[in-house]
Amino acid sequence: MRWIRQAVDRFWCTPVPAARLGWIRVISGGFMMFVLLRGRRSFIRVANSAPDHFRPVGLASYLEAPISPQVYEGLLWATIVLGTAFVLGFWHRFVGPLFAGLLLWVISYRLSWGMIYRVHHLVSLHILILGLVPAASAVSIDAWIMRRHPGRRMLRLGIWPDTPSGPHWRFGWPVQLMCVVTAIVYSLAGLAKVMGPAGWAWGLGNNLRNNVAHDALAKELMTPGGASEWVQLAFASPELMAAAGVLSLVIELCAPLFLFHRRLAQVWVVLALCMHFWIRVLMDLTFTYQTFGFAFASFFAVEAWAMWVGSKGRAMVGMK
Amino acid sequence: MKSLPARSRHRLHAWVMIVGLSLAVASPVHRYITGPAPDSYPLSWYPMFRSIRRDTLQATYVYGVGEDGTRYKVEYRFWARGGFNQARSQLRQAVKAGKKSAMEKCEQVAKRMKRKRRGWRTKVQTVRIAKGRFDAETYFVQGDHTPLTERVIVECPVLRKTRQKEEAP
Repeated sequence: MRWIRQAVDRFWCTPVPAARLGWIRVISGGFMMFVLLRGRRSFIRVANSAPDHFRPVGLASYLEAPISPQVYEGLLWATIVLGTAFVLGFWHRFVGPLFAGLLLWVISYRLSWGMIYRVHHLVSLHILILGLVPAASAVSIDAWIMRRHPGRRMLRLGIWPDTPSGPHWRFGWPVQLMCVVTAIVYSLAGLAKVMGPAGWAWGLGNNLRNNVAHDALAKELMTPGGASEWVQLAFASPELMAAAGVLSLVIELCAPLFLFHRRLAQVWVVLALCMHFWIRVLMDLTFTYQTFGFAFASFFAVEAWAMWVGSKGRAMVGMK
Repeated sequence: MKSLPARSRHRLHAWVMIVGLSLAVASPVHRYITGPAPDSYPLSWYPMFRSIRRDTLQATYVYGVGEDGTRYKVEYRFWARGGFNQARSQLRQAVKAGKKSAMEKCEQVAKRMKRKRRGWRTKVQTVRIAKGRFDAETYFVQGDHTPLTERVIVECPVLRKTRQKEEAP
């Protein structure tokens, strides 16, 4: 039994520095803020849609009718304010759960108008994890307060208590949980394919090609720009689409298996990025959080990258 | 009640979140066995990957017809406030709900088309909502965009004031 416990501890409770969780908070939170600020007009416009399109999902499910667009706009701005505090790492003990909860509600409401976009699912789950753990013990205003004003009780009220100063398993398990959640989400997408009517024939590429064509046709008929100019690639070679079909199934279905070794997990990230790039080219469809790698920050020692960038920046300024 | 020591408290917090969130995120897996149901957020079972697509593609779309019979593509912003996929879904649902709701959608497009003062939109005389079947290879490889079959669900005129004045005795 002891070896099982050791293996479980090794998998979940590897000590990592607080700065890793801090940088992941900045990356995921920063991305979410970009989505909210850039999309705020669209969010508000959708909240003004005709009530007969209202089909509540997620946390908005308990609503029987749409709320006033003005109230929604107020809640959206409250989320943006809390999100800013989340990214800056201010009073994370309270701001984290509040931001995560409000974000889930605001996006649930946004998706309650007949179409559920899956682009926000993974980032929301990541924010939920980050909001409920001491993710602001470094790279944050909280850390600055602890350094500069350790004696001020009022200021410390919203800061997670008893957080360790060095690398610790308390920062390790949330990072690992983010990796596991990411892998589960991908494997669900794979399971949806093989357990659906097309089954393992997804690997033959024909269904994949026709899915690409189906999406492209709708874009041709309904958007000003039409489909991606690369869509013909899907018809160029059945072998190419079969290879893409098999590879996507391997990347999705086997995602959790790659997590058992750190380097293997990083190889999986590279494969997943290639898959998203391929989707981007062929379907003109960008899952920004995934395609640009923000979703995979938890798989790497991002604090080391940040330090490297910082030292290069300082050197450049010094040179000037 | 005696409170737990800090280490046990932290471990409990960790395990509750690890087990709870992992199970919650994996929970939509039962949909693959019990059968389809509406999707949700933030937990999804990715129903869009379940669909089987044939070589013949089907689509519901809106187009305009000019006085001389020319077809004009009507983009999704004419009938929906959200993004492209939302517009696509709302159009499909309107057609599915019956002729009355499809006609409402058609009139909504015609009304917005009427307000346009410049460009090709001023030439559109009739708005149509149609369902068409296309051959994927013919459409994308040979570049022939003619539908194999097309069924007009509803159509409605674009009533412009200037035109009404011209027609008045």
